[in-house]
Amino acid sequence: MSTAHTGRPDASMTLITEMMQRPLDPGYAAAAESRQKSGLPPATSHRGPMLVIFAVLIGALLATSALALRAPTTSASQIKSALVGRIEASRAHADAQTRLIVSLRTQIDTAQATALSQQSQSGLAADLSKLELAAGTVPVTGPGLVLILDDAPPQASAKGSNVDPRAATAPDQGKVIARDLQIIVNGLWQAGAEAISVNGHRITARASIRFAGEAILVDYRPLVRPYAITAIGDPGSLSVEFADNDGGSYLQSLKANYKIRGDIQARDSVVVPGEPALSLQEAQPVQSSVTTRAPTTTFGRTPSPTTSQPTETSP
Amino acid sequence: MSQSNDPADGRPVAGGRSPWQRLLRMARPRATKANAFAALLAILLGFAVATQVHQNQVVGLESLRQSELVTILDNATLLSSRLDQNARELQTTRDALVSGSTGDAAALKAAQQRLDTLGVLAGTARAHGPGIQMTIGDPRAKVTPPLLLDAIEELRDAGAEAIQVGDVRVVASSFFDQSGSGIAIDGIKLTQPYAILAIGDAQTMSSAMEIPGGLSENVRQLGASITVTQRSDVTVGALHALRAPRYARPVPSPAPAATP
Amino acid sequence: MIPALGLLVGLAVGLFLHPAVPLALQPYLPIAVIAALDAVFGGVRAVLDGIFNDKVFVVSFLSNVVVAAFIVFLGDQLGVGSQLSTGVVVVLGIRIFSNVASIRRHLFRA
Repeated sequence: MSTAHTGRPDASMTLITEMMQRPLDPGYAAAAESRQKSGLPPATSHRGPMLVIFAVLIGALLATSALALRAPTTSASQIKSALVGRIEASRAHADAQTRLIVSLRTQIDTAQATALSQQSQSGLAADLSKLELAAGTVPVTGPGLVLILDDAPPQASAKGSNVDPRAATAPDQGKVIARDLQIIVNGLWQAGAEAISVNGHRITARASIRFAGEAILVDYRPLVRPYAITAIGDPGSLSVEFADNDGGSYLQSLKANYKIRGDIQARDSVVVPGEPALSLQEAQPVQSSVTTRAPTTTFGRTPSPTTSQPTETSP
Repeated sequence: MSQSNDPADGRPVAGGRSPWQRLLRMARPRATKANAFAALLAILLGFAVATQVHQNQVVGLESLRQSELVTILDNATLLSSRLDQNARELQTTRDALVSGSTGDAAALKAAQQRLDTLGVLAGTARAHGPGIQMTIGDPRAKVTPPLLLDAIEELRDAGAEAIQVGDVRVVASSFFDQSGSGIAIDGIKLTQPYAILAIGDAQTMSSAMEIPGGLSENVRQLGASITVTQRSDVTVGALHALRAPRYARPVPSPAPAATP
Repeated sequence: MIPALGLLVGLAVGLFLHPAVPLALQPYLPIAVIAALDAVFGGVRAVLDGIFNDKVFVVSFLSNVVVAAFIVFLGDQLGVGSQLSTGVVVVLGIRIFSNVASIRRHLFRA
């Protein structure tokens, strides 16, 4: 039976306990003791010249290090941060304008609906809602699927020194490019999708899927990985027909060859948002439906004066 | 311990409290300065955490190259100006609608104009306007559906508002497929040469086709021919047969359309 | 007071003159700064404890900086440079925190 050493239970942790309980240099305590023994006050004066010199040196050291260690802002990074600033500002402005457009549209639609019902133009109102659904200006909901597309998982190496030799020769093959999205969305339409949105942006007749270098833009807006493609359609046949057609086999080859991740989940109910800011700038209808006849009077409302405008005829 | 730990007792109990009671007692709000200060600090902490989490999710624009940033900025500016114009037009319409005497006629006219616009976008109305006419001659069938699809996307990016290929109107749901040796849109086979009409800003669209690495270069590299002509008036007369959706229903209001 | 003024003077001199640090010494600058800060906070705490000694202060500052830089240099030669510098930073950081806590207790009695 060995005699137990009667020491502190944490005697083996001297390093850490020293660090935490005696952070002050023990030299101070020792010097103070020896000074007290020889009758001097324990602390020395603060005004010694040596001390002041060292204070200046320390100050200079701190300032120099601060300046030397700061990451230099090269002109390239300055340009980039200026660009990023402008992009963010532009995006904030676009978001604000979109909110404004949504509220204006709601007001206009409400006013129109009331006016149309008062003028018993229910046919016009029905046509409007049918075309709004088709063009993509209103959000829609229904059964469908969600396809989450993402780049291939990054290589497990990359601790700085070990560069994967394959990555050097075939760079970024695992990245999803705009063409992948185009072909997959095309395949979904072919499989019978009735409405599609990518990361919340509705695919309309004017929404393009493009790229800017490595960033994918849908409807002029850059996307963030992962890419969520939401489609509404026949829950039974949508995913099956998609898997059968060219879009589905393209996705399969992406997964097999480049390890791109693409998971399809069937859903009972998804929401595909609308694009309320859809409009035309240059195109005009060949046959306009704007008429000159005065609105029919109902419920005792007095008719408004006829606005005499010629109907547009085909050229 | 003879102390009562029963919370139903109601009387304040000294010592011997269960931890839950201690917690409850601490959680009771008291109007002291220290409490208010602590609440303020907690709010700041929560705010800082939320901001940091949001910061982490923001698009990593800094990681892109300068040229890509320039392109994104161009697109963002284009989007902004389009939205600005749209907002201005809507404001004019809205003001006309809510103004007293001309309200009814203005509402009818606005509804009919909206019907026209939506009809052009949905492909159920013929349209005309400035634009381009493109002809792709591909006797050896080298042009693939993905290439043509990419051309349509490029046109849309350049601002095309109504597009027609051959006799087929291209809308949002149009799909491109290989059909025998040729290309089919919406299941309708196209005949050679592919005649594409697009309404929009003629200059922008034609430059978009001619840029290095763009459609013209790709088509010519494949051995096919392509001509792009700007026109002051192009008529897109093909119509898209609208099918009523069987599964998609409008989201019941008052939910507004989602903004990106 | 006078040493604090000296510190400010040194900071100003460093900021305005912007002396160029030789490239070979640049990797050791961060460690030197932390070691210097440890010595400074130790000195302030000694003042508040009433046992300040300027010789001890100077020696502790010099030895801190030299030893820390030497440890990092040794680590670089042995191939464990980043780990050793992390260790040095952790130890100095803990000491700084403890000294600052003691200073806080002196000053604010809280």
